[in-house]
Amino acid sequence: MKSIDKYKYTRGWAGALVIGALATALTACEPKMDKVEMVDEPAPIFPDYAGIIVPCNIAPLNFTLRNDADYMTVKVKGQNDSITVRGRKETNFSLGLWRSLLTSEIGNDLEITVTAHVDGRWVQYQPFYLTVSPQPIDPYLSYRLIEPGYEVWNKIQLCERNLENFDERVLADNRNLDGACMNCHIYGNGNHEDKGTSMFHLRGPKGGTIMIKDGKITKLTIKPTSMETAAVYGDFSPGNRYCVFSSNLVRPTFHTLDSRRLEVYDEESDVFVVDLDRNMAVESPLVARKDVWETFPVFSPDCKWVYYCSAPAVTVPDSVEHLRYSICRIPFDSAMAEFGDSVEVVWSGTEHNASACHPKISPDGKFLLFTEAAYGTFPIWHKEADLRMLNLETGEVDPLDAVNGPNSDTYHSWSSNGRWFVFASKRDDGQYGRPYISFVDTTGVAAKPFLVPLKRPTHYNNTLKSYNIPDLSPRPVTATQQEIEDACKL
Amino acid sequence: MGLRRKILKEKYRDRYAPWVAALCVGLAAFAFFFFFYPYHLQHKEQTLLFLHNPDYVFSYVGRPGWVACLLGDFCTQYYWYIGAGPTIVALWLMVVWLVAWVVFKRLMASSDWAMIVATFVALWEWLRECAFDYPLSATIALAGGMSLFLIFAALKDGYARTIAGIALLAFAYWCFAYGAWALLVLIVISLLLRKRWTYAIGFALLGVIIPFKSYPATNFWSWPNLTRERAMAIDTEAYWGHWHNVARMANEGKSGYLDAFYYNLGQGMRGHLADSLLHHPQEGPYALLPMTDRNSNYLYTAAAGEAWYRLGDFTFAEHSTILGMIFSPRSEGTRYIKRLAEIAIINGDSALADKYLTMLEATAVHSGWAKRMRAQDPKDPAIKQLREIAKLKPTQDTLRFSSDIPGTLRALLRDNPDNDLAYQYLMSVDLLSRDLKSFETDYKPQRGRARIYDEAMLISLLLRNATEEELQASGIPEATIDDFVQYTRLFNASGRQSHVLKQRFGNTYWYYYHFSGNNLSKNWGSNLEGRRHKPASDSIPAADTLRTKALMRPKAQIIIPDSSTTNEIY
Repeated sequence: MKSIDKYKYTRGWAGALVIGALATALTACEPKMDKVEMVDEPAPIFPDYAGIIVPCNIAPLNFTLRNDADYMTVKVKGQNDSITVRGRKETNFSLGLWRSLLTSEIGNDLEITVTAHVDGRWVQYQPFYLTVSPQPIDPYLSYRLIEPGYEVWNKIQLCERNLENFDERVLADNRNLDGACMNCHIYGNGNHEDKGTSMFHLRGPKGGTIMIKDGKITKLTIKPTSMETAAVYGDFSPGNRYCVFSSNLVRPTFHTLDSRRLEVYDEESDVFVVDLDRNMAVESPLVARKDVWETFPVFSPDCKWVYYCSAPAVTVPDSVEHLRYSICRIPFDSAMAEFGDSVEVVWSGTEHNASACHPKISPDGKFLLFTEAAYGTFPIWHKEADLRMLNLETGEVDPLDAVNGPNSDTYHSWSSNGRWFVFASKRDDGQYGRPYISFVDTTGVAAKPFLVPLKRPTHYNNTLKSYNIPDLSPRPVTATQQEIEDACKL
Repeated sequence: MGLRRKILKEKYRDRYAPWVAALCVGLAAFAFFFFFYPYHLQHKEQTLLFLHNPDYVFSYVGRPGWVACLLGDFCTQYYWYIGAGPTIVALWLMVVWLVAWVVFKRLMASSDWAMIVATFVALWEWLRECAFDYPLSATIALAGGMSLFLIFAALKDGYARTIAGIALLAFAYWCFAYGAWALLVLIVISLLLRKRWTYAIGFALLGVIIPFKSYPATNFWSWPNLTRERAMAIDTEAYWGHWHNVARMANEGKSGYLDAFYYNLGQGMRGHLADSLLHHPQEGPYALLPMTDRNSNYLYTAAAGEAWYRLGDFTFAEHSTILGMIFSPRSEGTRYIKRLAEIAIINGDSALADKYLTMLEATAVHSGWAKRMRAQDPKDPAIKQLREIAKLKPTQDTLRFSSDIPGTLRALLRDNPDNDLAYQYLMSVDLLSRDLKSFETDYKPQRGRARIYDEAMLISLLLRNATEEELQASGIPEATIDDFVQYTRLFNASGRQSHVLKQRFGNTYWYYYHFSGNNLSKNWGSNLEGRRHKPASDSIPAADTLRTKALMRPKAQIIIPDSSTTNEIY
């Protein structure tokens, strides 16, 4: 009897303890905001969303504070509406309220006031502002999540994120594909009737180019017999009939100094077009010269030109620091499926004593966004690599000072309306690439970029993965992960 | 009185025997993991990164088995403390035993049989815990899944119980992942024992909707692997900086690349590499600074990072550390993050160092270390050591392939001639590659002589028909020359039989030069299999004496393979 009582007694104590702990946790609420000290400094927010222009359809810009704040209250105030959220370490705006706010404040500025409980006192920082643009951004963003293992990989995921909310889905996971390397996914350039064209390369014994087009998934072997390697960098033509690729023999080498880490260069590279309707390659000796390396090809929006980067071949790696790529273009007749017979230099690497990579033309054909590095063809480990905006009508180059950061800014992609571009930037830590979005007005002037918002922004600090080659699209990939991975296994 | 005593005895036996049995299991498990198998547990902590922040913790929620995974990883982080790992594992094995006992007592209506079955279940789980990648969360998942059966068993027969059973299976999968299978098996057994055939078949069929995965368990069966435990012991001692232990432990085992690697590093850290190099089986230069790729064992890859870090090549150190981390069981780990933080500090990458230190500050056991690194107090021994290593940082940029190990070592010496470890390694790479031409160029007698260098120099002199004057000028002791004469005589007299020479000359460079075989086990570095080289027994001169200037023949040199080209984009 005694022991039963004792058992009950113990159980009672345990229960009380659990209830007490739960009660403590539930009642440990925000301290009273009876006295607020105004401070003359900006809120130390991460990501930095102060002074930016945001698309009217962007997901809530959640942020955290880079200090020891344990509670915060954030008020977002526009001309017509406002919302207030309370949080501990991070804000967590309601998606519905956020959408409603942006919709009612299109074209207006939003004032954001942060009041935080730091070291036992409430402080209110100077408010910051952002502008809601009436121009939406393409809602779908694809990227590759990969550890920065330089020349070796383990887990790779191709993902698609909906920028209007926080939905992210995996398009393909290499753990289901025998660990094969998957190169970056790019969307097609179709019109509104396009059913979500896109492609990526799968490497290894079962490698090939996974093409998702017209609702079908096929695995293609894209390698002209005259070229050493299969397709590497590529782009779709408007309408998605053609793809233009470069075939690159890539060599990775290592630096010893200044965290420069990796230098990747080509020992050979040529450009060719693939006619997806006729299943044939279109080549030209002008873009497959042995004494010149051609790479990063893209179509112009009118499909009359193929733009690419080109450099005279040098002895590598000894002369890699003298490797300067220019931006060139060659006519392309999409009706006859043939290249023209002349090459024009659009931007000279020699003249600018720099090297160009990743030319991407705005959908209206007026601007060419590219990466400028000191030398070479692989700018992601070049701290000096910055974005440049070339006005194709005037030939002027905008250094995009408002956009560029202290580390590499590269691998950019335009939104289909030409008012936004996304790019991968290592500005935050020099190692892990993150997707930034920047607004561009009709004259080609770009605004301060902002980091793609996450439901929990501290995830950027916790993750050991890079966001590689972000690409925008108005349409999602239509295939499911299972369908894509099944096609990869064929 | 006798009957009453017997009843009381049985009563006490029923009451206390299970607890005593569980305690025995726990104590035995503790003793095993504390005395015989501690480094596996240490290693599990090293390859885990558990952050105490909402993003990280909430990332568990939504995954199948999140309760087990969260609880398991939370406990595993404390394995860092000596004795904590064995204690935690022992406690959870006791929980498994007790839950299994209660469950099987209910099923079998016999406490004694239940204790036997519970012991088997706990023993099975104990053995599975011996695998290097088996997480504690799997043990918790099993206990959790079994414990939910008690709720099912407490319900009365009928539709309500069937519905509850289905709900419990869903709940079990959500909270304990493969623990749902344990629950399902117990439910089916209980129904079969009660001859509820239809229900039993119905529940068995429910198994098709539970994903057939063992997650978070990584194996069904395991067995203590003492060879791997020893490898992890050496690796962990290196992590702790106990280089004397590293050299001693590596010398005790002479059968693996990791042994050879840590033997070399341990001796090198103490400045004894030249004198000790051939006292351990060497398989070419690969056990000095292994080249790694995605097929390499991650332990070996990370170990290479340790060597590069000590040598002062922080690019390769970072590269190997990242590769070691991403190929480790969970692609993360405090050990790797700490090293990456150190490298970032040395490289002056303050933003990157901040990222890693912020992560470590969010851990329970490494936050103090991270704060010390952030404070950079020059009096702190860890900071002092970091600053000493930072002095090795190259001053000139060099572009090299990952396979150009000799070139990299020469560049390190060019920038820091006092880098003694780099010098020891360069000499060893030259010698173990049988690249005597490079050895002659790289060798700096003023840095100190060693018998192995003299032995190699004698071969060099022989190969290039050196004169008596050159031999005298070399400063090689007469005793060494005499030994060489004896060696070559015996070599020729024995018909080049290695076993004849091994006893007296087995530790000499001459013997290595002639007979280095493929003696090391194939446990480590699968990528190295293709890089094995042939012994040089019939390709070098075997002069009677150096002074006879025997006919020279081409030497067999190990060529380190060039890195391959690729068409991958990274």
